[in-house]
This record gives sequence, C-alpha cells and structure tokens, in this order.
Amino acid sequence: MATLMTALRHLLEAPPLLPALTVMHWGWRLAWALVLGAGVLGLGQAVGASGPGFGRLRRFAGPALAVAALAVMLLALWPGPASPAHWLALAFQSPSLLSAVVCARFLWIATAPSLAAPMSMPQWSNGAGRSGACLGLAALGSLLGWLLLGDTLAWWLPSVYAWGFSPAALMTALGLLFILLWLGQHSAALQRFGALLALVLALFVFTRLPTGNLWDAVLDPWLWVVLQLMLLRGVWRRAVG
Amino acid sequence: MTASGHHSARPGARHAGLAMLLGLVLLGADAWLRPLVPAPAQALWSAAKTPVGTHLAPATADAPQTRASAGVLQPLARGTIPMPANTPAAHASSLVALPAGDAHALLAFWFAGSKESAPDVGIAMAGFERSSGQWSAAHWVVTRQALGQQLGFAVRRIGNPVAWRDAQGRVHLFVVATGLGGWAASRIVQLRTTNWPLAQQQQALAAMQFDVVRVLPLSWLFNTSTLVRTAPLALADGGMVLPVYFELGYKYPVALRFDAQGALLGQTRMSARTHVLQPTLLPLDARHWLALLRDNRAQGHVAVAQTQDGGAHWQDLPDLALTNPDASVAALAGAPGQFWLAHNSAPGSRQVLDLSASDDGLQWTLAQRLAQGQSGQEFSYPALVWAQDSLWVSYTDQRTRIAWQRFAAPGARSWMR
Repeated sequence: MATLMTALRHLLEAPPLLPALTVMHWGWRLAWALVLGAGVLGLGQAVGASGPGFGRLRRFAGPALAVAALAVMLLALWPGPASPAHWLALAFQSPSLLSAVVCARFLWIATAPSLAAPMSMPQWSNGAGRSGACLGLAALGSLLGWLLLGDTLAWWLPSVYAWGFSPAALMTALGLLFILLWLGQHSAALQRFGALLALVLALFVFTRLPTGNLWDAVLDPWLWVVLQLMLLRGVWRRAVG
Repeated sequence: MTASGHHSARPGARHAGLAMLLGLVLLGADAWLRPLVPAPAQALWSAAKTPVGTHLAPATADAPQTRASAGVLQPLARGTIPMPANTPAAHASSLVALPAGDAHALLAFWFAGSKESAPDVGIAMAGFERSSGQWSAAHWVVTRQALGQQLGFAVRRIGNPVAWRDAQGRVHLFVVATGLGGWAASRIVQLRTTNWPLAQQQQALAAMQFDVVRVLPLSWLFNTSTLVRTAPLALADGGMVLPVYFELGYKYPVALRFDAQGALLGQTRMSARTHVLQPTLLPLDARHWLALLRDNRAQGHVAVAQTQDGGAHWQDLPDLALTNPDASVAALAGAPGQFWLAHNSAPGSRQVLDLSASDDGLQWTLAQRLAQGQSGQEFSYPALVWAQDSLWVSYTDQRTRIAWQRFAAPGARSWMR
C-alpha cells in the first residue's frame, strides 16, 4: 500500500525535468529548420498544383524545391541573428515535437521520391485527412488546445499546463497511444499517427524538448490552429456530402 | 470472426503490445531521470536565513516576544545607489543579502538605460561595501544582446531583475525578457553566477558573471506574458518560492518553487482573481503564508491570498484596508510577529511611498514615510531585505535612480539573539 501511495505521489507530484540550455538551443533550431523546410516544399507543392506548370523546366522543379528547402533548413540552423529561427523563437519559442516530426516525415516522403523521379511532387495529404479517424484526432487536439488556452487565460482554476510537467501526463499520452494502436488496426491513419506519437513521446522522454512540458511537445498553438481548420473543413465537407 | 478478421486483428494487437512495452520503457526512463518528489515547503524568516535549516515554528499567541516592538524602526542611513555612466533611467530594484564573511553586505540589481523599454536597457548591479559603508560603482551584468546570444533567440527588451542566493552561495537572477510585443509578451529568463562566490576582495564584484540557465516554461501560449518582479520566499530546504504573475489581459499570480540549487520544482496558481499581480510573500509560520498583491483596478486595495499548506493550495482573502494605486508592493517577515510592507499609499498616484508594520500581516500601521513628492513625481517598486542586522529598502526614485534607506529594527535583532 505504501509503495502504491509512493508511486501515486510520484505520478502526480514529481518535479519537472527540463531540457538543458544547449539541448533547447539546438533542438528549437532543428525544429524550426524542419518546419521551414517543409513549408518551402509545401509552398512549392501548392504553386505546382495550382499554377500553369513550368513547361520544360517542370522536370527540375522537384530537385530545385529540395535544394531550396535544404538551404532554408541550413539557414535556420545557422547560429545568430542571420537565422530565421532566431527571430521565430523570439515570437513563438519552438514548434512542438509533433509538428517537427510531422514536417520531417513530410520532407522525407516528399524528397525521397522527387530525387529519384524529378517529376513527382510532394503531397501533404492523400485524402486520409478527411477520414473519421483523422477528424477525431483533430478534435482531440483542438480540445486539448482549448483546455490549455483557457488555463493560460485563467478561465478555469485547475492548471492543465502545470500538469504537463508530471509523469501522469506522460502516462495519459501513453494510454492514448495504446488505445490508438488497439483501435487503429483497421485505420492506416490511426496507425500512422500512433507511430508518430510513439516517436514524439520517446524523443520527449530522452530530450525533454521543447520545454520539459509534455503539452508543448505534442501541441503548439500553430498546430492547434491547423487542427481546427482541418476539423472545420472536414465537418463542412461531410455536411455538404 | 472471419479469417481476414483474424489476420487484421493480429497486427493491431501486436502494435498495442509494442505500445505497452514502449510505455513501460518510457515511464521507467522518465522515473529514473526525474528528480525526487520534494518534501513539503517550509518557510524561513528573513532575519534568520543563517544557518539554513532554522525553520519557523507555528505561530502561537505567546511565542513572538517582539510583537510589542513591531513597527519600531530607527533610521540609520539613506541615499541613492550609483548609476552606470550616462544612464538617465532606472527602475525595479531587487536586493539580496550576502553572508557575513563577504566583502559586501548586500547586492542591488535594477534595470537601467536611456528610458524604460529602450533597446539599450540592461541589468545593473552594485554592492554595499562593509568596509567603507558605501555602495560600489554600478556594473552591467546582463544585456539583451548577451541574453539572446546565450538563449539562441532574439530578445527585444529586458527588465525587472529579481535576485536570489542558492544553497551554494551562487546568485541567481530572474529577468523579464520580452518577445514580440511589450511587457505583456514577456518571459522569465533564469541566470546564475558562474564565478561566485569569489575571493573576498571588493573588486570581485566587477568580475561577477552571469550565464543563462534557461527560459522558464510557464505557459502554453508561446510561453508568453509571465513576469517576475518581487523577491522570493526562502525555504528551510535551501530552496525558495518565486512569486511571478501573468498579465496578458487577465492578471493573476503564480508561485514557482525551486530547490536549493535553483531547479524548478513546480508551479501553482495563487488566486482565482484576474486583476491582481506582482505578489509578495509573507510567511506567518512555516506553512501558513500570505501573498499581498498589486490591484490592477482603479480605486484598488492591496489584495491578499493565503496558503496554509506551504504553497500547495491558495485561497483568496478580503482586500486589506490599504489603498493600492495599481503599484507594486514589497513585504518582509523580519521575525515572528514583525512584518513590514513597503507600499504606495496615496490613491491614484505613486507620489507617496510608505513603510508599514504589522504583527499579523492583515492589519497594518504606518511605521515610516519613505518618500513623499509633488504631484506627478513617482517613488515606486520597493524592495526589502534583511542584512547586517537591519532592514534595507530600495525603490525607484522618479524613474531616474534607485534610492535606498536602512533601518535598525530592535525587535528583529532581539529575536536573532
């Protein structure tokens, strides 16, 4: 019984474990590098999909985009004020690990085939984003964001953000991962998200990035905005058939 | 179940099993890496910080023999702290006492520059030399450029330094650093001396160097709008509780607990109200503390919250009778039943700064008028510390310099003996 109480006390009251300054310094830069690199590719994808095409130059678009993304990523990693990460972190601190991992996956999927076959263009979504599972995940992320925003603005008393430093939050996220993988045996989207979440949780435990708070690792305010847009779009499309 | 169902269920079960295994590994690693759960917090009297470990006994009706002398203060000295050269603006001082063997009795930190929120504002420091009885020349200890370089991201403005000395004698400095926006877009950066304590020469002060420990993660919304202003409350375990506050629209106080080395142990919201900020902590006994707060409303009074379990839970109390013109206050517990509060007492302005005394933290009487100016003049943002057997007060003098006063407090001295 005493052991159980000790374990319970540890789960709820264990102090935060925060990342070292050097880990934060380079971890945040790497996260911004991934987000910016994916942003460049995503922009290229949007232009390529909606524009008139590049004619004979189109065969060079894939490698050119990959090089541009690489250049932006290297610039983001560059120390000092020349780096866009230096200024983005001033305003927004760091992307969440989940944003960084999603962007890294996008970069990987986009660049690997485009290097092999220059005509192919990266795709953010293959339609799975409109699935019920994806909408459910977007709704879950949106709810978590509202809880955290309400906590920040003192709309309610229990401090949801402070809870993110405790092992109990990690246990909750692991429970969610278990449920996702158990329920997701028929859903590729759930399995894919489960794998990403597992990677994020493992990175968080061993690096504590970006801040030592689990909520900062799984959801940043920009990702929250994106999730809500996804949710609204998905609900709208379902509503109009 | 169909055959295909069997086939498709296996990967799901296998993935769930892997998730469970991963969960056990991650929870085990997390438990192994994390610090131990700290003991419940117990406060120290300001006048009894040495030796560490002398924690407060619960207050009783007959224990504090100094109550009769509460509020009796004898002025010893006053003046202004030297400013860095060619620096016309100063604000928000913080004082920290040094141990008896040090060449300086206390250190003062404040922010200074061409004007508040100017890009050239830095954190200045001076020490009160025991041998000469004078303040040393001011030194710059933190600039926003150096802060940004160490943090790895830009810092627009800095201000509101708060100093604390940890169990190893290192001085920690908590500084407000703004992001994209004004003060409401601030974050708190923790710095720590890398070469302190040094040899006991006076010139050691100029060599004092601070390195960034980290930006404290305190809110989900881009970690923005948490500020620090008031002094920490020392704990019996060598750690402290640092009162901070959120101020983006809603204003509420938060208590941060640190261990004896300055590692963050947790945070607790201190009030359900959203118009109070800049809490200053006053221990009534080891576990029963008050937080006195600046009231952001017009016609406000000094607000109060209390905890009876060492900061784990807080409750709001009715406001004090003292008016508060939306101005920072500073409280100090010198000895059992001997509490001081520096506060602006005139409604609607900061032209009067008083030092009041109390034996219960709720009923206050005027002990000293620290400063009184003409309309439009400002004496504000006080800081209190107990050092060299006396009470020290520093405050902003018309946003151009930091003034200080020193008082003998016989009651606290007798308690110390």
